[in-house]
This record gives sequence, structure tokens and C-alpha cells, in this order.
Amino acid sequence: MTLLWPVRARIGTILSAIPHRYALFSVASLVVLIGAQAAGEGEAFYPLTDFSMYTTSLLKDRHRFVDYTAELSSGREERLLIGQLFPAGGMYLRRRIDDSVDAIESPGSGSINPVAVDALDAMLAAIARKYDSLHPGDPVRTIRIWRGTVSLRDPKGSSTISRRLIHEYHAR
Amino acid sequence: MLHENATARHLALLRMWVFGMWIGDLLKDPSTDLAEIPLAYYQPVGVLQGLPTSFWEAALSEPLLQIWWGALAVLLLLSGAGVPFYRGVALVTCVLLTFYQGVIFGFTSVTHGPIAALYIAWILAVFPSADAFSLRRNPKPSPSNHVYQAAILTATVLFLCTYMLVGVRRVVDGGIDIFLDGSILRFLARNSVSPDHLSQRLGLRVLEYPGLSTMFEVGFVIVTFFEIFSLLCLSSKWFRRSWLAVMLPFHVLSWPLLQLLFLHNILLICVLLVDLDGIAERLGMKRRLGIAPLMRGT
Repeated sequence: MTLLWPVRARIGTILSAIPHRYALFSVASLVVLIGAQAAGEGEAFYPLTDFSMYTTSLLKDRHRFVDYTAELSSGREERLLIGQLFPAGGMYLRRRIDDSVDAIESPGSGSINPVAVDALDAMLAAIARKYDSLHPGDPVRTIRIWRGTVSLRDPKGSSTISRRLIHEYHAR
Repeated sequence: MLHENATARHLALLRMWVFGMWIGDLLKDPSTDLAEIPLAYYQPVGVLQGLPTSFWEAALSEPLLQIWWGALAVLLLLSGAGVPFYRGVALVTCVLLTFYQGVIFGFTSVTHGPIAALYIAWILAVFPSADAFSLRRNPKPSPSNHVYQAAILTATVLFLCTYMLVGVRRVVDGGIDIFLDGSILRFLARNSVSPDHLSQRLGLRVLEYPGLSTMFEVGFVIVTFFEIFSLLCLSSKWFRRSWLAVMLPFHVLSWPLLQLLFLHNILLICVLLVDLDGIAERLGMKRRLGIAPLMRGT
């Protein structure tokens, strides 16, 4: 707020010339915005939230990710872009689906968690229905989930990607 | 100072722009699609956490989502047009809008992309934003323009604060290390392997060119600098122009490289920080709209 120092007199003139309720609302809205940032609880206080973006270092050199592909009735295989299918949810809905993919893999054992598979398959059914409604001429036959890894520092970039199939969903 | 000559007409134009933006958002992202997604993927956020699961089972069905969507579209239209009983209509619109956005966040997480636009809608509902360019029969603009200036200034300061808070948080949490350890390149690579709209994986390609990598590492520092000092846009014309020269390309490049689209912010920058009066004057539109200078450089 120190950055407002050069214009403090003019802001003061404006605020003192308007009804108190408006001046109070102006000041209170900024106080609440900054207070929410200090509280730092993005989910708990909505519609208030904290503002952070790329605030902690990312130091790992390899990254695990999930790829979604669909085999269509025509035999063609294409990558599924969740943001195109559900634009209201976009990238962050995709992350939630990624989390449910993580849940089907029991860490260490290499086995598959059947309860998590049911939850994931329900979502994949919704994705298939949505895809079919947008492309009725070539509906989804199978959705494949791939576990990928990529180097985050290698100058070879996309050529460092490796992936393996971890799950298939067959649409009815 | 920025917006020190704003009038009822400027605030009315901002009202039409912001509520119009939300109408565009509603048309672009039909939230009725969310009815397709299993309820297990929905986690209510903030004030919406108090509502029981049975409420959400009913509310997230397609017919009810369609009714909400339609009601919100009508209310946004009425608010944007500045109908009689504007404040009441606009406040109800903002409550529904907050609810609508909260439902979307329940399927994702609370992201700050649309938050500034939501808060500015509330500011426009509370202040007398329908004293010009409205469907009210006899709008009586205030004899003093101070209340309109206060409204636009509050919206602008709040908008700039959202940038400042991000920049300050990054320096406080990440320290100097975050700018020196190559984190931004890893963010680029990580985000580009999980595309949601564009599948080109451009962020990963950046790693293949050392010159580009260096440019993005330096750019990360520059963007953070401008974020932290965002509020100077109010008092310095030169800083504001530099800020625009940095932030607009950053927002545009964020989409293909980081898979992040700041559409609301780009649209808000266009009305809150771009010299619209200068542009209107050059296009000969100023007399027609009857607007006094929106901005005066210091």
C-alpha cells in the first residue's frame, strides 16, 4: 500500500467527498482481500482466496504425468483434451482426474485398487459420453490411460518422454 | 492519477463490459456439462461447504443446472443493461455468480483466474453504476463525479492488488532461489505435458533452445518485479505502459506455454489500464460517447 503514497492526497480527497458507506466499502474490500492472502486458505474461505502462482521451487528433474487417448469406432486413435470436452473445468478438472488415476495405482505394490478403478471408470464413461455428443459420427470405443515420465531439465525436451499403458476403459 | 476524471458514463461502460464478459463466459463454458461428471469428483469450497450432499445431488442435475444457467444469463443481461432497481438486481446477480463460480471450483479447485472479475462485479453492484447508459427511466447522476471515480479506482486498485499479492507471495515463499534454480523451466515442461486445450507441448520445446530458456528465466524475474510494483500503475504513466508491455505478452504466452489462459484479466486490463480515451479520441468516438478524459498521465 506504500506504493499508493504518491497519490494518497487525491485518493483521500475522493474518499472524503463520497458517502461514508462507499468509502467504507472501498477500504474494507481491500483489507479483506489482503487479509485472505495472509490467511492463505484458498479452498476454505471462498469467495475469498489467497493469490499464489509458482511460489515454491520445483526441483525434481523427472515428472510423472497422465495421458488420455481414445480409440474411436473408425480405428483412429487420438489424444483426449479434457479442457475441450469440459471447458468450464479445464486444466484443473483434468488434475482432479489425474489424482483419481494416481489412486488406482497402489504405491510400491504395482497392484490396482478396484474401488478407485470404479470411480475412475465412472469419470471415463462421462468423458466418452461427452466426446460422443460432440463427435456423433465417430464415437469412442476405448479410452486408454497412460503413465508417462519426462525429464524437466533435459535439453532433448519432448524426446525424453516415455509412457506405459496402465488402464483401459471400454465404452458400451 | 489514473481514472481521476472518470464520470458516470465511464462507470456505466465498465458495468456493461464486466457483466458482458460474464455473459460471454457463460456462453463459452456451459456449466450444464458439469452434470455429466460423477458427484464423487465434486468437493464444495468455502461458503458452499455448509450445504448438505443431498442438496448437491439435486442441484447438480442437468435440469437444475440449466435453470441456474438461464437465470444467471438473464440476470447478467439485466445488470449489464442497467435496469430499474439496478442495485437489487445486480446484487442478486452477484450472489448467483459467486455460487456459479463456486460450483465450478468444486470440480476443480479455487483458482484466481476469474476471481478479480468476480470481485469487480460486486463493486459494480454496490456503487451506482447504472446512472448512465441504462434502461432506467430517469437516472439522476450524482452532481459530483467523486463516487464514480471511487468505484473505478476501487476496482483498479483491487485488480492491481491481485498481481501484487502474487509477486510478493512468490518472493516471500520462494525467496531468491526460485529465480535461480531453473524452476520456471520445469514449470513450463511440466505444464506442457498435461495439455487441456493445446496439445503442441510448446513449453517442453523451450528446453531445446538454450537462448529461449535464458529468456524465460530472465522474463520470470521481470514479470515478478512488475507484479510486486503493480500499484504504481495508478500514479505513473510510464510505469503503466511498461507494465502493459510486460504483462500483456506474458498473459498471451501463458496459454500455449504454461497452459494457463488469463482471459478475464486480459479483458479487464483492456478497460482498467489501457488508455481508452486516447484510442476513442483517435477514432473520433469520444464526442459521440460524451465521455470526459478517462485517464490523465502524471
